[in-house]
Amino acid sequence: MLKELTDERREALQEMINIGFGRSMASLAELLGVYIELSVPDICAVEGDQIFDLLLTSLGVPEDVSLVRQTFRGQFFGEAVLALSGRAGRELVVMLGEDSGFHPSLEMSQLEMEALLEVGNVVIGACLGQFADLLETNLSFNPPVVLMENIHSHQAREVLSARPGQALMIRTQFRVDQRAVTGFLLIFLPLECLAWVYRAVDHFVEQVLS
Amino acid sequence: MPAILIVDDSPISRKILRKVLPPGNYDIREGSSGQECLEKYAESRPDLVFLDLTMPGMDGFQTLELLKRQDPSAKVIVVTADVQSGSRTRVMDLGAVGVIAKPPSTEAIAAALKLV
Repeated sequence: MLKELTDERREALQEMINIGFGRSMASLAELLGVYIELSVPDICAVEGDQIFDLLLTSLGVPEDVSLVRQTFRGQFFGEAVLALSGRAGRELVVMLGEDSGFHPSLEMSQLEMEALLEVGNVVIGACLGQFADLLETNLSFNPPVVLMENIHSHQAREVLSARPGQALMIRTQFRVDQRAVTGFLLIFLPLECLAWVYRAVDHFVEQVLS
Repeated sequence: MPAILIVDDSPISRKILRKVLPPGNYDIREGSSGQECLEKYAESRPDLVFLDLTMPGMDGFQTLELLKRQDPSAKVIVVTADVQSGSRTRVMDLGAVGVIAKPPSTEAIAAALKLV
């Protein structure tokens, strides 16, 4: 199924994710009151057990990592991981500010978790929502899982490696201007749903180019 | 015949832009990077440039800045998925004449062509 990722499909997928990512980063920029630098998405085939190492490479092997992982389902399915280098949750709490609606009695770790949940919701939901719109379908999202751990911890490895078999990985990078927050949005589409995705991408290309 | 330069690293985006151009005769050229944009602009001095922002290497911001230095009268419409208000402000400050969100509509492109 991965060999059916022709150049045209790859280009179309990249562009569709680019549009979704652009929308999600605009929502995030508005939420945080910041400017965000974006990168071009890249697409590659990965084995489930490579994901942990790929993430380490992407993040530059930090000590701590903040992750939001969310699965989605519909006519296609998979999971998205928002990976932020270091204890980005603390920065996000500051950026979200005092009027963010967090309960004042929450401890810092809870605030960080809330901030990561909020940001994860915005980024993953907006990006995949726009992507699904372009594919003319709808997605349901399961509740996100937040993880703030040392990257080498057993729990981090477990969260990031719990995928059997091959998948298509779409990776985009962003950096919050003038803040120590860089991150990646990783989207994994398992082999089982790629036939549907390819048909929908072909339909999109036909529609926009016919 | 108006000359148009389309610059985007994504071949499919360049195809889409060609597709949504309203009927008419245009001399259309394409570039896939900031560097190519500068070179092709210098060669043909097109009437309008459609420029992407998020490109590997020299991005659209840098390209726009260098292009306006090369020709302050260059007319550039940015066509981008980066719909942040901060990006819009930045490109307008750099001298773009408009910003169109991807995927571009025929109407948005038709309005942009009135600038030619």
